[in-house]
Amino acid sequence: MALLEVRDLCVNYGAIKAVRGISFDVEEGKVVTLIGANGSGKTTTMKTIIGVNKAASGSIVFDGKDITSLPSHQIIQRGIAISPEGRQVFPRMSVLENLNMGAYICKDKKVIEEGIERAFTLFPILEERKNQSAGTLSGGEQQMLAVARALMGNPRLLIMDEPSLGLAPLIVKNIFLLIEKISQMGITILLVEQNAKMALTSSDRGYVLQTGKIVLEGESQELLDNQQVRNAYLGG
Amino acid sequence: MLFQQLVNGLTIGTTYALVAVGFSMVYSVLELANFANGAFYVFAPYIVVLLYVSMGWGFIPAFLIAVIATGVLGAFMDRFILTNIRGRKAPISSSMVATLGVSTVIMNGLIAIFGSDTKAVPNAFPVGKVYIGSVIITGNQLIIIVLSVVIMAVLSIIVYRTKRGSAMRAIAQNTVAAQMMGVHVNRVITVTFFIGSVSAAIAGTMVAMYYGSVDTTLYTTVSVKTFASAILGGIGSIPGAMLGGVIIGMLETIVAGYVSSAYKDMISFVIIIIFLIFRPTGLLGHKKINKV
Repeated sequence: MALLEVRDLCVNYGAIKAVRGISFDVEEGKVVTLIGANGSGKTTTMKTIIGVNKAASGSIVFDGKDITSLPSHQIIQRGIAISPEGRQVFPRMSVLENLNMGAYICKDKKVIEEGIERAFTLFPILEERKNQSAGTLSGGEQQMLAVARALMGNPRLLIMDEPSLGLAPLIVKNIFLLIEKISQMGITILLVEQNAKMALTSSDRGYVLQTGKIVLEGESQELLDNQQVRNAYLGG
Repeated sequence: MLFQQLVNGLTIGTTYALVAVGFSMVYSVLELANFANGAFYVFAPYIVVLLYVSMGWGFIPAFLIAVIATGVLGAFMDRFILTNIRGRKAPISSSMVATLGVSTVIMNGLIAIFGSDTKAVPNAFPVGKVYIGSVIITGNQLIIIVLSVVIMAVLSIIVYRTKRGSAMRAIAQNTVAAQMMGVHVNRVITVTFFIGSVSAAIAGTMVAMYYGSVDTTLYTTVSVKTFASAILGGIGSIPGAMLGGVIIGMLETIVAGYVSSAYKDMISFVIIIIFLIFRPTGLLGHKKINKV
């Protein structure tokens, strides 16, 4: 049984059918990626898993339990965390306060302190800027903060939504090294990306989304070699 | 003379500040101008009149019940009306009209039950006066200033030093992100309404006692002054609301003392207009940054 099982998920935005019956699995300990162009329904799917959007039909099962209709705060308590698209840090809070918000569901002060220590080891630049408001950080630093904040609650599954979006190529490379590091910490990762090449290189399994449907799936290496994927997402 | 005016201005200003802080807290989490806030301000002294004057309760229990009842009323308004409107993802203007509706129900309810004539509110603390040179500070003024400052300090500690407060600030800065961190957004918003209504209730009761009376026309007056204080300080900013309230109170008293009391209430409108045109972020407000 996979850690996360999504079955026939449909999500609507008013009259628009954004996600039309997708199914995928995320095995424990793996890095799984959803790739696809703008508007293919990737972010909508992530927001539905975390409970921000409501599913029209279908089911989301995490660790054997149906979480489809649970409110966000209960989903997060079960061990899912997200580093959202566009980073979404709290701009007028300091780096430290942002990290504390990541541990909002956590009551144990010691666990929070350990989390902050781990975040600073992973991203030394955040320690240097710990009292600076998050809104004044660079895009790359905000992305690090968003990931560090998501890790604060010790999640079993980390959703990373477009971590490379809007970042300089050099920083993008760091982000993908980071995915490897987090994976080695034993955290399962669901990675959503437009940068298909990077995403497939750093993941075990991939799904290709197109206008709300999964059109291809397989081992990431297979997808990298697939002619269809190469033509559509990897520039031939 | 000037110092006396400043003391009088400070007294009324701290009550404006207290109402404006509650109003601003709600505004910051929802970007909602809560028109019912002024109604809560008027509602509480009527409950005090009912319990303290008509039923002969002690002042302190009457005051506490009035304040808590008003807080619960504010929380209920959010829980049973506004939460449903938000759940349908309706625009915020729908919620605003709903608060206007609630305020109309409360104000007309008060008129229906108590009548439209002015009610006397006896001074529960007929304590003495303090003289500083030629300036007189009455016991009542002292109580109002001290109580307002203490409550605002407590509110600041809640907002800036507690977990609930950090959830409020997170919602104010990015509601969806707060939800993604596990904040029970609707519950925190309901608590914010409770706090806002309690602040309005305390201020309203103190002012009614200061002036010795309460009537329903206070609703419009206090609403305008709350908006003016919040806009002057920077709408949604808590320190801004405190500063705005005190400045409005002082300006008003000075105008009343040196020009004419007929122009007293005009100050608020002038400030609203000037700031909305030339400095919509107010004195301490922040610009909205939407980085992609």
